[in-house]
Amino acid sequence: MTSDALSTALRAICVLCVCTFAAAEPAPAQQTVAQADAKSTGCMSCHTATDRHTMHQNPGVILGCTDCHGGDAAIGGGGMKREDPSYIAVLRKAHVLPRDERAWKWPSSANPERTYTLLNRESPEFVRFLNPGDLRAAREACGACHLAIIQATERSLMATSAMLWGGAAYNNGILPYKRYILGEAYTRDGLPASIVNPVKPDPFLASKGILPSLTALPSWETIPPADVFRVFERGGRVISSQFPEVGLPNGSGVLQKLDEPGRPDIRQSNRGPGTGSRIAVPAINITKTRLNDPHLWFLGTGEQPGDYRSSGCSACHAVYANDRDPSHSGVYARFGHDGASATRDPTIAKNESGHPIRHEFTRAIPSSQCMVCHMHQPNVFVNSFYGTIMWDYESDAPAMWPKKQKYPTDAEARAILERNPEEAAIRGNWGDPQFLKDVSKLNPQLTDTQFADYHGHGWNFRWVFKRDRKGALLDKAGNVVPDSDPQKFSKAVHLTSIHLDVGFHCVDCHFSQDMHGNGHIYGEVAAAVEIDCADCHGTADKYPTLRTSGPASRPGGLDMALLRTQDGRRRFEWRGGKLYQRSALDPTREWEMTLVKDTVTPGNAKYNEKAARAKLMHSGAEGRDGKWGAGPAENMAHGNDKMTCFTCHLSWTTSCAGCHLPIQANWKTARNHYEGGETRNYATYNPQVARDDAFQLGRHGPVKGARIAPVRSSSALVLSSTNSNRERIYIQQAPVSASGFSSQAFAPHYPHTERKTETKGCPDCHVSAANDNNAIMAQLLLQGTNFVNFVGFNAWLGEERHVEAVQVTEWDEPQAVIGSYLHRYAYPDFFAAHEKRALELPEAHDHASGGTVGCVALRGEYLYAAEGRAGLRVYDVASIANKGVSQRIVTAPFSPLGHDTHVASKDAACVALPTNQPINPQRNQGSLMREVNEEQPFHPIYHYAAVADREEGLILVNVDTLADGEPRNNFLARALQWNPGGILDGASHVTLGGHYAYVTATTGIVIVDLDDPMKPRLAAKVALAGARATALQLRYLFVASAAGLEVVDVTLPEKPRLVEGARVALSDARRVYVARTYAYVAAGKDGLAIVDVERPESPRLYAKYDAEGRINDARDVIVGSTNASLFAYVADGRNGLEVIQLTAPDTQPRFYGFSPEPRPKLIARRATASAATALAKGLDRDRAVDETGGQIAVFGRIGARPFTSQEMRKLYLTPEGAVWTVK
Amino acid sequence: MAARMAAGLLRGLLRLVPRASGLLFAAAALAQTLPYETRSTNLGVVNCASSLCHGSTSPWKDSNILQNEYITWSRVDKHATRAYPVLFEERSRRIARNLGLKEPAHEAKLCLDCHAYDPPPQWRGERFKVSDGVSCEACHGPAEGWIRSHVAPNATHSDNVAHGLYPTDEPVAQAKLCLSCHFGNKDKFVTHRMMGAGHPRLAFELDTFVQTQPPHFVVDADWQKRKGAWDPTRVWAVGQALAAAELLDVLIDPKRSRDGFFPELVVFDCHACHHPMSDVRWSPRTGTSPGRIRLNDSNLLMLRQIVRRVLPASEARDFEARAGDLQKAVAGDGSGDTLQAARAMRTMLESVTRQLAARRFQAGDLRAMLSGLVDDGLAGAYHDYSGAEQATMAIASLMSFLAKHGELADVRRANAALDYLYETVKDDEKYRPERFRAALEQVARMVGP
Repeated sequence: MTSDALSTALRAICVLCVCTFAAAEPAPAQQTVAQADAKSTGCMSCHTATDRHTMHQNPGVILGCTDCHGGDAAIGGGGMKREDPSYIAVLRKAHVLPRDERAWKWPSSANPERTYTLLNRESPEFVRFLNPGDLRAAREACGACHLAIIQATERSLMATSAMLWGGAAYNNGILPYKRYILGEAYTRDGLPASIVNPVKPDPFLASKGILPSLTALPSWETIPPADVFRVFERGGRVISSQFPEVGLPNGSGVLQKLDEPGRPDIRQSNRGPGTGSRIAVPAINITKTRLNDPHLWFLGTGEQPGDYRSSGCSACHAVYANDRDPSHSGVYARFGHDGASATRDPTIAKNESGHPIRHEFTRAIPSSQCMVCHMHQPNVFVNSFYGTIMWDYESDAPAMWPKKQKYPTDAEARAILERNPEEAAIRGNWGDPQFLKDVSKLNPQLTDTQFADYHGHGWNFRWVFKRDRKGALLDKAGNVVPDSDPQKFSKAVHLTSIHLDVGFHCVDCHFSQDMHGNGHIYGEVAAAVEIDCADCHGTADKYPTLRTSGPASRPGGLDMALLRTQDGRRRFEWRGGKLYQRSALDPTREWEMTLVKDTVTPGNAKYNEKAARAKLMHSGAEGRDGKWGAGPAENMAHGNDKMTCFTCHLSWTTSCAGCHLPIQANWKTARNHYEGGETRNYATYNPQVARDDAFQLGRHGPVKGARIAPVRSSSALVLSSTNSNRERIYIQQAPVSASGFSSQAFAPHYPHTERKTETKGCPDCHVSAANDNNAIMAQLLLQGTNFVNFVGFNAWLGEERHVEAVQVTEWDEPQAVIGSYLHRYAYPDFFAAHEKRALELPEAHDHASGGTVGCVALRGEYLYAAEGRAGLRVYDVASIANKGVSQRIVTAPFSPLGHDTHVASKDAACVALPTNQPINPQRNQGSLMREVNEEQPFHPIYHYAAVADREEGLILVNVDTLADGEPRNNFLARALQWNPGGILDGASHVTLGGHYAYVTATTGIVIVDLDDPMKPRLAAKVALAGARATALQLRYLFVASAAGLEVVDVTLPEKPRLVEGARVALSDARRVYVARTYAYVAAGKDGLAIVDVERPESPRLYAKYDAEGRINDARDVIVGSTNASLFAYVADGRNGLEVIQLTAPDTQPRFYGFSPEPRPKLIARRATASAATALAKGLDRDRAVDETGGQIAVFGRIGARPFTSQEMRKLYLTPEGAVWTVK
Repeated sequence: MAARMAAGLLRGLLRLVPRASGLLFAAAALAQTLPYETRSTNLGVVNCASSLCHGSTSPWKDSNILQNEYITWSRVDKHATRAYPVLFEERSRRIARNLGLKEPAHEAKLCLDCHAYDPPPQWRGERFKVSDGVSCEACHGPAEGWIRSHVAPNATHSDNVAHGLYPTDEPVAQAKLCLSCHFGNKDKFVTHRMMGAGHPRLAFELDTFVQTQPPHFVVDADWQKRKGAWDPTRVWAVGQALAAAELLDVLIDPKRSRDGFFPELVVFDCHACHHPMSDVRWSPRTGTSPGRIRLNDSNLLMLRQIVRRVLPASEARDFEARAGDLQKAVAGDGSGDTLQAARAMRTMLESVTRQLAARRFQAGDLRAMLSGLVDDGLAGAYHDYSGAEQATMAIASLMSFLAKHGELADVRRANAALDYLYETVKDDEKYRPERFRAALEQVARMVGP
């Protein structure tokens, strides 16, 4: 037969088979073996052997091939070989064919890479043929027996992902519903579906976090923008190509075609908000950028180790080879990590990625399978369970970046970003899949870190090690492991979960219900979990009941004693007073459970005094005196009803201090959900600062008993948008959450880093007797430590005659600080050019000021400057990076008749904002926020900016209108002026700590209580001559004074105490900035003075740094983190801006510590337009609450919140206000 | 415990509705291969325990079985909760030590044969676990043969049995199965040596134990449709016959009946020997003289009442005579040869069993047997503890059945009387025949017409 004839014949057969494909009957619940066998005959003529005929290990399951897969079992190959010319014709007849053979790489049966919405566009018959466990097909294939579990699964968070979409929508202000309304679900035909809870939640069910329904996510183009970022159009003719993604065919030009120049476009296009260049960026991330997804409704992307899985039921129950580490993959580790099969089926290629290991269902699911979805560092916790965290591009940079700088083409960039949304990958070595899959083999030669062996999403994960607060590696006994020790990574403790260490996989704690849901719709993961620590470990006064007791557990709990492992053993068994658990994966493994009651019972073999003391510490006065011992549970300070077990039993928590989501027009990409299709916008996803050293507490929501729980920074975003003319129409803007709180989000969580030894101790939460943990306490209470602050693309300066923005980072990712360690490796060419420029930064934009700027503060799109005689001026800096705008800093975006943000005062010395995180107190009102969303109100101080005026004292200006999205009401005016009896005369600086203002004035430090902002009250005064500026860290106010650095104890702001002898003499201390345990003092001609304030009452000069005399007029300093490194920015009156790298992997190997010793090195500078006087602090990334308990940042989880002032004080103050301490 | 059990019986069995049944062939049942002897693969509990099969946490409405059998077994059935775990206890370790076993109790075949399900290694499937104790297949037989067919549409019980499911619904097969451990058989047998090493004495009555297991099934209309009428009285009766037969088998078996110089002592009434010398326990009831060791005739004592009612008068007299001969022969008080007496009785029991297995017991039968038991007891027939124990269980069962038939006047007071009776046999060490008799008098008042 000629090839033409063959193809004609094939086509004929094909037509025939399309016509004859009747939809297969659903698999029956019951049938005889003979009936079932008849449905396998033809199939088994080629698939002559398989691993488990029915996939089920249970021989009681009677199924034939077509029961599950459909297809035609009557067609057989009869021993035909692959090479046989008619083989393919028979195959076509027997199999169900896809609509899109090319997309599926037919006739290969491997899951192709990145299929996403392809499943929605396929025929249900083919979906069923491909994967009967897909949720579109599962009712037919599995439903006869498993219908209830399929329905539950469809409503479960595993399928709906409601927590991600809901969280992203709420935290970024897109939807005001904290009881989420969005979720993913499809019909059999792949159409978007809404799902409804089987019962309407009554108040009780609602209190359990159960939702009435979830609905499909509208396409991102039609979601109104949540943020109030303004985009300034050029004016003139409306360019229809500005709005490519809706492609409005406005040929007739019936709508407005002309815009006045410079008008803030609140509509963005003639089709209204949500179109054009301004859209809700997180929404485009959800639909187009690969973050956590794809999830249960789609196949794994199948490109990299850690990405191989199926969809629906099979996503978990059919194991793929993803990870070679036995602690992650258990018994499957030996199958490699390339997604290749080891099936007995002769027709399946064994060297091809995208097949399950075997044709077999199992409940012995390795955690490496969970990791395929639970990959994303800030939201999900298989990583922390493994003791790993997202890599930061800096550690071991020499091994990870190419020697020669890459200039990727668009095509190369696209190819990488399809797999991995982090833009840095297009420049790094790991953008190459071949390099990526063997990154862990680099480990023996690495000096900064060690890498994991899975790389889902194309990412790299580094190990987290036990370290002291300075960052030194520690071994099991707590001894320092020298940085130079070649064996240091095997000597130091890798902070895996203790559960991982004994052999756990996820399924050893999370049983069927946690995986499939209980049939109700939930929005929060924490609410949908049935297991609780106490179910297996008991509590201090009770042995475990082996009944689940988590928020989603059924009444009475699941009887865990009934559970069996895949290999048939009972999961749990009491033997001789000991409780054993059998490994779900390893038939030979079991472990003894630690029973809390035994560990706290004196005389018991398992007794542990440290554990007993912690668990049985009495509450109240007795506890403060250190009294502990058995007694009623309600008398315990740390009882199970007061705090979660993991509040103490964690070794570290992941903290994602920010991500950058830059949307770009004219980057045509596919939508990864729902209807699919391509549109011409895309946003990459770029982690900024992921750290493992922040331990923070707050209160969990009522669904978790409102107990004290660890809190993490959770996906704080900054957004940028580049339009089709490559104009950056806004950059690095933090949106505002729906509740008006900042989007620099936090959430109580379960860190999954449980350990026995490396737990939290007394001084992690209470003031230590040595009084050396003030920074730790500030971090703990979520007041922030000014360490991970985000400076971003520009450093913002105040000067004698200007305000100015100096570009300090690259725009491309990674946004390395120019001249930094990372810059050297990620951009070797640019770095060389920078050195050639003698470290001079090339790009800056300024605007003339009305006078010498004393203080400058950036919030959102506005820059607040105190300009002496010119008063307060708020500049509009929205267009700072827009090449289409000639004057990038403006006093008003259009006529001053429509906008006036100047407030005259006699001699404005300084301006302070209660937070520099963008907020909008006006959103946080009404019953939806207060009652349904259970949000706390804002403290009224958050309406204001505070100005310290040398003559007029304290001035408050209500700045709410700058956040309301209405451009026509921005007329600022003073709301209050306060200086009774001239007490604030000479006011030179103001720091806000909650509703207390700390003002440096001629007489010293004046503390003003602004609890009622319109009725200020003098709280206290501290006589301190020559006080110039202050910085606040929890209990201490650090003062730059004529004498140097001084310290005031403000534990009780009403009773401040100048700490005698706590003074570091400096001849010209101008300003002070405290980042964790170091105070950075702008010390005039001495340059930068770094003072160790770990013990705030005994500060110690650590170093003076003037870069060989190049910093000799330091007037202000700020500190911030970029990636893994710490930087100081100095405003130098004579020399301009100076950028100093404080830590870097090559200068300070302990850079992962909570507060490593700084190793200052000048890396960049910029001669400013006039003498630099002030710097705007970087965006607070770890501050959720102020010193008086006022919430600033949004908290995930209904009813969760940071501590109130009273709750904070309980940790270190007696009711009478005396500090109590712990050892 | 016993009191609760009895009270529960009266309440729980009210839903039993006897129906006509097909005749059973005791001989076939007797020939039934026991699960552990079956040459077929045992698949393990996990296959049954699926929540969609027998592991549902609550009964299904639309199923002809409860579907939560695994849960019942796992949580409250001592076959799961005690049989195997008890081997880890100190007492078990001591018994193993005392017996000089090489392995600890939980690994020794001698123990596992009854404290678990211990089929030969070649018949253990990939997920079979001895550690599950007396697990599903220990009673229902290796699943390899029938697991596929028993889930087929319209699968019938007889199909399942034909594929190898053990017919636990047949009283004789059931008795044989249960007694294989609760008394012992040719392969596994609790000897006096094991008792000496510390093993407790065995107490068993088939119907009572089935009811207190507790059953993981409900005998309702569809059960009877599939498996025929359920007659608990018949179960009790057949249980007595087979227990007696098993005991005689020991006596007859030249290997099992002897242990060195002494006969196998386990077949005798324990308390015939185990009491202080000052406590003279002889009573004239068996026609044997003082100082003689009495055979444990508790089952024969029950059968005596059953036979009187069920068998023709001549056979009943014959039974009585043979029972007497046997006791005397064993005691050495007669002229007869023990072996001969035992064989004669054994032969008779086959016929008895056949007749019992075919019997449909009526209320009148129950009342008559109950009266007989009470009369015997008042006459001092249960002077030995083992007899009193059996009688108590039998009386409770029979009263339950009567109550269920609505033929017991005052169930509440009957229960109180039963409680009192149970109290007197609660502890074999403290058993006093006169207290038992006093309690029996109260029961007697409850069972009057």
